[in-house]
Amino acid sequence: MTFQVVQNQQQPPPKQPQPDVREGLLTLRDATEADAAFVDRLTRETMTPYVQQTWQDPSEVAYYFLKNKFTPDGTRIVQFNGRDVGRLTLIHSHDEIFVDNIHVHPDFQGRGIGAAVLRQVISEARRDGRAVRLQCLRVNPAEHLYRRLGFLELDRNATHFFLRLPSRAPTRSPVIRVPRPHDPGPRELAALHPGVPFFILLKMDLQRRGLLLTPAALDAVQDPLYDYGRSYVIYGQGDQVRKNAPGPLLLRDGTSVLVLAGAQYNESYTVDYRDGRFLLYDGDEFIDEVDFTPRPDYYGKLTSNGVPMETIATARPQRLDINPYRYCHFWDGGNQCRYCAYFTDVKASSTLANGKFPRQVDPQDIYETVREALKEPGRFSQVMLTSGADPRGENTFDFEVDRQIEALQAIGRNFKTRRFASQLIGCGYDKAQLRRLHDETGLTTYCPDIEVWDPKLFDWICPGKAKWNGRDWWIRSALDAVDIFGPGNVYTNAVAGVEMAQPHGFKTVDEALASHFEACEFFAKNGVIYLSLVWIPWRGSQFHGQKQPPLEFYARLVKGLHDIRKAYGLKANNDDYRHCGNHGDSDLERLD
Amino acid sequence: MYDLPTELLNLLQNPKTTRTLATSAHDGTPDVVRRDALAVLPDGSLALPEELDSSQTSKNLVLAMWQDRRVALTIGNGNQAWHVVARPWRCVVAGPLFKQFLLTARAVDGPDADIAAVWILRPEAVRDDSVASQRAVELAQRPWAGAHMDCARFVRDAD
Ligand code: SF4
Repeated sequence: MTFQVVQNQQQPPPKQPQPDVREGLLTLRDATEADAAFVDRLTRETMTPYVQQTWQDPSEVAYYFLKNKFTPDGTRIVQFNGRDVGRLTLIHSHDEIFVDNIHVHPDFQGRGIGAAVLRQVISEARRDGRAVRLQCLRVNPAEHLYRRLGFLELDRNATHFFLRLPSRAPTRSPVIRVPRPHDPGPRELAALHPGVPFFILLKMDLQRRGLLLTPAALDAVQDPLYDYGRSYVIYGQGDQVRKNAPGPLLLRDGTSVLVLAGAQYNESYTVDYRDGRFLLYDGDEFIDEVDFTPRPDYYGKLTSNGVPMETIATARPQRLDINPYRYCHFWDGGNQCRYCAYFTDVKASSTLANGKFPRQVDPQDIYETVREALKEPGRFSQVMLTSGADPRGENTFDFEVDRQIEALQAIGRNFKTRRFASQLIGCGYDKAQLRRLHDETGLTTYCPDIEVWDPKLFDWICPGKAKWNGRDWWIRSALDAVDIFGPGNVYTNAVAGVEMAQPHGFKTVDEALASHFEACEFFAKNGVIYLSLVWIPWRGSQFHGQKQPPLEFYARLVKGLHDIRKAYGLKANNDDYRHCGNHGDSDLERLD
Repeated sequence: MYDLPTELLNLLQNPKTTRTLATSAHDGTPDVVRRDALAVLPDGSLALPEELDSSQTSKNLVLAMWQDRRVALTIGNGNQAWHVVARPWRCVVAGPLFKQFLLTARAVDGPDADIAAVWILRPEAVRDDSVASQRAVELAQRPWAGAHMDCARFVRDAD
């Protein structure tokens, strides 16, 4: 048997039985978009019997295939004697290789191909002192092969085994740096852009690249002080299952960073734990001491309906996030925003909660959760509501508005004052709907996210928003809201960087920046605060595998947006460092 | 981190001790505020609750953190006085320490008292700033240069 990596060429799988792997040439080639149909068909042909044995609910089956949809990123096509017979998808991190998918066409199974491919992965991992990890359905007989190859059971749940082949050398320390092309990091950029401090650059880079926890750090966040409960991300990646995840990361300057600890990203930062401190590394370079948001007191408590309160509201350092309706109808017809992995997240959360994760949240549960959360002195200074889009109703989005009003009224029962610090991130509503939200609830700020400013890119990237009711409508909604909520109380977010997604996006950083600055200026003139979020090409989103812009783009972006808003006297008080943790540009306002 | 001397630690335990903080703005404008809630933590760092993110002090602390600048504190009571140079090390916005300072503020100022953050300051230099101590230093270093000759300790009574 010989291994070699060759460039792309494609052929359909043959129907006839083939010789044993020792009698042929086994090769791996990088996958391209052109392999999508082959890989998705292969996944169905190899996995359908096991998936159907595992889940009776068709939506679970559909979700499995959605989650395992082809992406060229990290995927190689297995060829036997020049024919495409399988796929291998790997996710690399500094201390392990995660085998995301390995499938061999049924006609070629039982010939040692899967084992040969896995041995190749194992020897690559061993060369670098890394472990290999994978998960498999409990009904899948491939489990026996994995165990034969030396994989040990890390954990199991009702549906999966979680297996790991330890590295030969003990894991962790020293961290192995993942080589990457030089893209100036936070320290270098802080020197080049004196108006953007290191901490803000670090936060945005963490958002771009994500973080992984070493085993010591993962153990440390099991402490009741940090325990935020099971994380679908850690769980979803099969990473140290049955361990709890921490809340948002905190930098020393108090900024929170909304970043998930898991293998969602490439070239992640690492958090280690030593001598009672969390230490952030980029490869083997020590970056800074960090911390995690302490667990709020209401976590672990139940509402009178028996619902865990942390499933009703999640906590940022100073903000309660509530999602009264956990479903986005844009996904129904494939109209979801192309960068969005919301559906994947919600399904995974539902799996984690053993299916006890209804779409619609009972307003009484919301009322009780907020009531309980407010018992903790000084913990919360704002409530944020969001949900998936629901265009249904007599007027578009009527159902969504009704639901938000119910939720806001339930929250409002907790306060003596008519208004309470609150933000609604919702769809673009008409004037009558906005008026109802203002008059019938205590809502103080409203945020219909424009996501992408350029008209053509808006239509391409946000097909749901384009369909219900188009870019001009969403802009109009933000401007109308200013008349009702007042200047500075209406926000809109842009998913910064997504406008550079290919093939239709901007080709240069300068074009992308010009588009953002034009948008910010337009909105600022009209009393609307335009904020940026860092785009992450999530697994489960259509844009997974796309290249993000360099950190320098974000450095220039946040400075530019901040300066424009400042010139118009606008301050994003609701989305500042303590409440949101998502926006480098509003963090800059701490000095204003 | 500099270990604070016992006399200073004792002084910080006394509620009557006056504590001030000096910071500077972007353009160098100095800012001095009295902050009697300043306390010492078990690890020897100082904790300073700030009521408002929008105060000039808070902004200057953020600036000091972002630009790796130092701040100065004076801690005094009667004829004792200390000068501390410190580095803003962490801004705490939630958790047990934050809660503890908030509850203290509410116990003192009533249930509507609030804080935005607790700043952790790491002492890097400490000087005994009492007049007696400074005079002793002065006398040791330049016994003849600093004082006026008509001070009582120099001038002999007339014959
Ligand atoms: S509106 Fe777009 S971004 Fe929001 S949940 Fe739906 S698809 Fe995702």
